Amino acid sequence: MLRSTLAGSYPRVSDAPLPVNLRQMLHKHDRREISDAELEHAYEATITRIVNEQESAGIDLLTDGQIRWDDLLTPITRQLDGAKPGGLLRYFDNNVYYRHPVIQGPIRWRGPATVDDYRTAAGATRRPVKAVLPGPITYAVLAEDRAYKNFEMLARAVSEALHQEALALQEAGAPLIQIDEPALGGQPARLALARACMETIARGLKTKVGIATYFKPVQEIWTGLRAFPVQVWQVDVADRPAQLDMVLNAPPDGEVVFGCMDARNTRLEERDTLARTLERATDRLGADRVWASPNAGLEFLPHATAQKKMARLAEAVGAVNGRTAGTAAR
Amino acid sequence: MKLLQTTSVGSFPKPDYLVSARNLYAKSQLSREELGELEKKATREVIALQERLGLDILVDGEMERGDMTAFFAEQLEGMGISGLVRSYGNRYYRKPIVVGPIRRVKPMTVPMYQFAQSLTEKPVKGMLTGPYTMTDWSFNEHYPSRRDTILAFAQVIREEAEDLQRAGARYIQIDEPALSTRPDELPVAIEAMHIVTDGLKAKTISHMCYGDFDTIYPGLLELPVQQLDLEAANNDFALIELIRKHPFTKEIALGVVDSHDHRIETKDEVVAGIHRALEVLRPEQVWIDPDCGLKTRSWQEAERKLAVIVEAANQVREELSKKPKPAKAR
Repeated sequence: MLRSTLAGSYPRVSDAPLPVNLRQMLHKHDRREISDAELEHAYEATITRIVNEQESAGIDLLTDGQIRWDDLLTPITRQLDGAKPGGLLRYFDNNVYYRHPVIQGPIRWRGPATVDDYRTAAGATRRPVKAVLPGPITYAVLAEDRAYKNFEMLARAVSEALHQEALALQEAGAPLIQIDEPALGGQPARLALARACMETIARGLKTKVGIATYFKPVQEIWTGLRAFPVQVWQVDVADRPAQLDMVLNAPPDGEVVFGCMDARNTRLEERDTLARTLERATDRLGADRVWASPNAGLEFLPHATAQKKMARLAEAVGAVNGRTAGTAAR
Repeated sequence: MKLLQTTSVGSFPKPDYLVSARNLYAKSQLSREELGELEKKATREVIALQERLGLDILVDGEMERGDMTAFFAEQLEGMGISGLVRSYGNRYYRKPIVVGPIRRVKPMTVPMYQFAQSLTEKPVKGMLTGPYTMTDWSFNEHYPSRRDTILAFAQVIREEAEDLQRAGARYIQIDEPALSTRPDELPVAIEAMHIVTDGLKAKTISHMCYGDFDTIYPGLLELPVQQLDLEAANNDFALIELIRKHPFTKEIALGVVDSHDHRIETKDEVVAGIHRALEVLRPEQVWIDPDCGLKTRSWQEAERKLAVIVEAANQVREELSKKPKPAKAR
């Protein structure tokens, strides 16, 4: 059966009133009007709400929404010896900013960065929840390396730390650990290194590992990328429709998450347009190997739009599955 | 001509009474007229503060603007506002959407410019958001391409710039903080800026920030404005090294204090920054200001940061006046 998932992040605040207004709680915490415990409760309530919203929209594989993440890198950076969050820079081609990691010494993993929120999310639903981590190539591309002064050494050191984090997530029950490599499409010369890093991260893991690409085109690297030692590949086919044929003409040996919905524009996709794309994928790969997803985290959109898009995605998946079921019955 | 003239980038923090009033207005508990009176009161305070500190070129502080794109989007035909979208951490903005052909129905910035200018003998800058940034920071549900959107914005911003000039503005700043987002689009941004500035008599300025300037420099020098207002403090004056490699051919307003940091820089730090800049720039081409708008700082922080700038510029100006004139350049 064709299934749906989200790419990772999800809007944590809304224009509509919410039972817990995380934005306000963070302001209050800044002004010391609420305690750490109260803020913690607000985070947990927000994760639970986001999990519930995905579930009621009909999403099959959920995420914790990354609601504590200021950006893709900082949660990991804060748990690494040898790295600290630096100044704000633009996050790829988005009007969104991230703190670039400043590497000051040997990278060493101090302890889990993402596991608590993973457990909160997984505890709030019976559906499977995946874990998401930044990829080592993206991390090294966005970092300011004052210690190793060597891209490969930094990426390898980060991979070792991510391996520890992945082990902790596996221990927490994550059925899929998705490694986000938005920068990889722009780094064709580093594909072999990326592969080696992925081997390091996945070393000895029993749970599935996936690689997610977005923002940058991956046509140039697809031949190498599809042979990566992972079980799941995420590819943007909304903003880059040509990548649909790229995957269908040379599919990888595993599952593919088709980013068929634009997470960076409010224009709502037609159900039938989405369904047609997904049907082409299921026809070629078989429904069990195909996932439908937005092409990036939904946090680029206002909450109301994200909800509409998520519901529309589930509708399209339902339509495809309905037709397939109909065909099977005949 | 006075060397090292001091200015600021544009926005000032809104006084608490104005923040409350804006909230009440949003809930329809305050009339537009009442809010307008408080915006004027705050503008008087912004002008008075700048005069007291001894800044040379003033700004109106943008007391009537929520943020630099939504303010225009709310007044332009063909545009709507979507909802809260995160820019970083706990900071959000209401991202505009282009929903139809963009048209200007009335002057958008002229009344506040005129009011601010009526309060002071010193020049006040007219402040606009550039076509590239308006496009990049809006969702687009109407135009078929980014280029079409950028050129449509350029037309309405041109109309506004002409009205500002007619109203007496001697300095018109067209901010393009998004300019370094997609280096391959620099030619379109330049084409659009020609539409905005060609033939204007006012001095034209463009501010940009969060830049990967090295991806668009020296091409950036083709932007048809007389002065570029760039951040330096936020990235440890990395900009100076770029300029060392390729001479800066325009005037520059150099950001010498970090607008996103609570810490107040010392005068010595700022003086050292200006000295570094003067290794690669002629004093005649340099203005001094903060990295970016000050709206995220507290009123006290903004005041102290500007005070340090004025003191540091005064000290370096004094040093320069004592130095023997260097021999004519080769």
